[in-house]
Amino acid sequence: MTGNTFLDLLISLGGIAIMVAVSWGLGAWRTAKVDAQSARERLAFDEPDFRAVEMFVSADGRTAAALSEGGGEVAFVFAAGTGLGTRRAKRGAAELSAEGCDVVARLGDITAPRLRLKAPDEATAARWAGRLSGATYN
Amino acid sequence: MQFPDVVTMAVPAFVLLVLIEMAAWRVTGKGDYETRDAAASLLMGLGSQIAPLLGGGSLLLAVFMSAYQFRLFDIPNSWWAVLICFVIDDFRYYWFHRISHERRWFWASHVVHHSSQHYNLTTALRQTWTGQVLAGLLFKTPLVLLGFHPLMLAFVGGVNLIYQFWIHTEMIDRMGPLEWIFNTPSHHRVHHATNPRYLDSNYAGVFIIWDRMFGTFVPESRDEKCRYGIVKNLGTFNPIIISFHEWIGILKDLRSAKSLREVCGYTLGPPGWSPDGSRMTTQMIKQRWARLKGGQGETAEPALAPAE
Repeated sequence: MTGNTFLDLLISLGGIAIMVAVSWGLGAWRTAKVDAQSARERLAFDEPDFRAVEMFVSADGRTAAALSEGGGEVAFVFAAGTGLGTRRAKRGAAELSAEGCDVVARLGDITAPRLRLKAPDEATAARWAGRLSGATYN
Repeated sequence: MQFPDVVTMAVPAFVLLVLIEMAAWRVTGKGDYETRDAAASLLMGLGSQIAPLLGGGSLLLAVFMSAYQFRLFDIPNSWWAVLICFVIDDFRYYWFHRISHERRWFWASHVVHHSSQHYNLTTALRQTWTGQVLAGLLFKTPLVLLGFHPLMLAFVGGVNLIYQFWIHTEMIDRMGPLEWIFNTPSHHRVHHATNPRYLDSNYAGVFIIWDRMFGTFVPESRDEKCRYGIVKNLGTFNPIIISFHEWIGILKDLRSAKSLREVCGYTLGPPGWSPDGSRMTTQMIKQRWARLKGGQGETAEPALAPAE
């Protein structure tokens, strides 16, 4: 553009700032809602042989967790902008804990966020943390 | 003959076209934008321009200029040579791009470009920060040895890159007879899709004829909408993680490798390769899809019990 690399980079940064600002101004900063239907639909696409028999959807609509038929596996669905991501693991492979009314899942995967599933009460959170981790099944 | 830096010259047009596409998305509802995704793509694009300045660009130029001394033919810097160079370089791009999908070492760089779940003009700019030196050495040196001047190669590579910018859009449907010869938005949507039937297809840069010739062409179906991204979509917009996550994955796997076979599999095998077959390669995903489709009909969706 100008022949000066540093100046060119500054101009590019300015261009990026304009495009991001316009995108935000047009209402493009959005986050997908994770509900039972969207989580099932995404799981069916990403993991079509994962047969979810029970699902726990976070009250904030950001995350869902599912137990497979037979209870051998768990799957998580999470919002990533307007898209959804999924991760599937052997039951017990993910680190799960109950923190108050939340179930916290650490998947040991730098590309997946630390997942926080909001339950209506502490007892539900503890129950689901146990079920998803494999410590309990019922 | 002078070879201008066409990519740098095109940057203002890139910005303008992205802004037009954003406005068109808002007005028509076609396509999609998400601010954090677009910001990540744009920062990846900026980083890919900075990365060669860290020494890789100079190294490549030095190697190419040295190799040029040993060229087989004296190809003049004329317009017809540029045209031939453009076509041969596009053929080179097809194979480089195909290997970038079929071998994990190269995929670790290229995955960046596919990591957005959106398909718009900013996705075109989501480029890798890594792997450019090795790719250049392996795939472009033969053209230099053939007799094409490195600056001519840089020029046609830039034109190829600019061509590939505008095809990253959902605004344009099909393009009639042009679909036979050229890579188009429709063909490239298929390339970016993760639907099993579309995986690992349409590697072309400019001319789709390479895919038609080598059996990797898949047309976009009206019955199956493209779903973009990678088979394990990222849950982050952090450019550092976007850039290096597959390299980190390779390192972790190599640390656990128990034999030379596993080392080779983890680096040069197809993405998703694992010694025990516990992960999914493209071939395995396609086989699973075919199996489930055969057993359960077109949608391949499993029956689900009611959720809690």
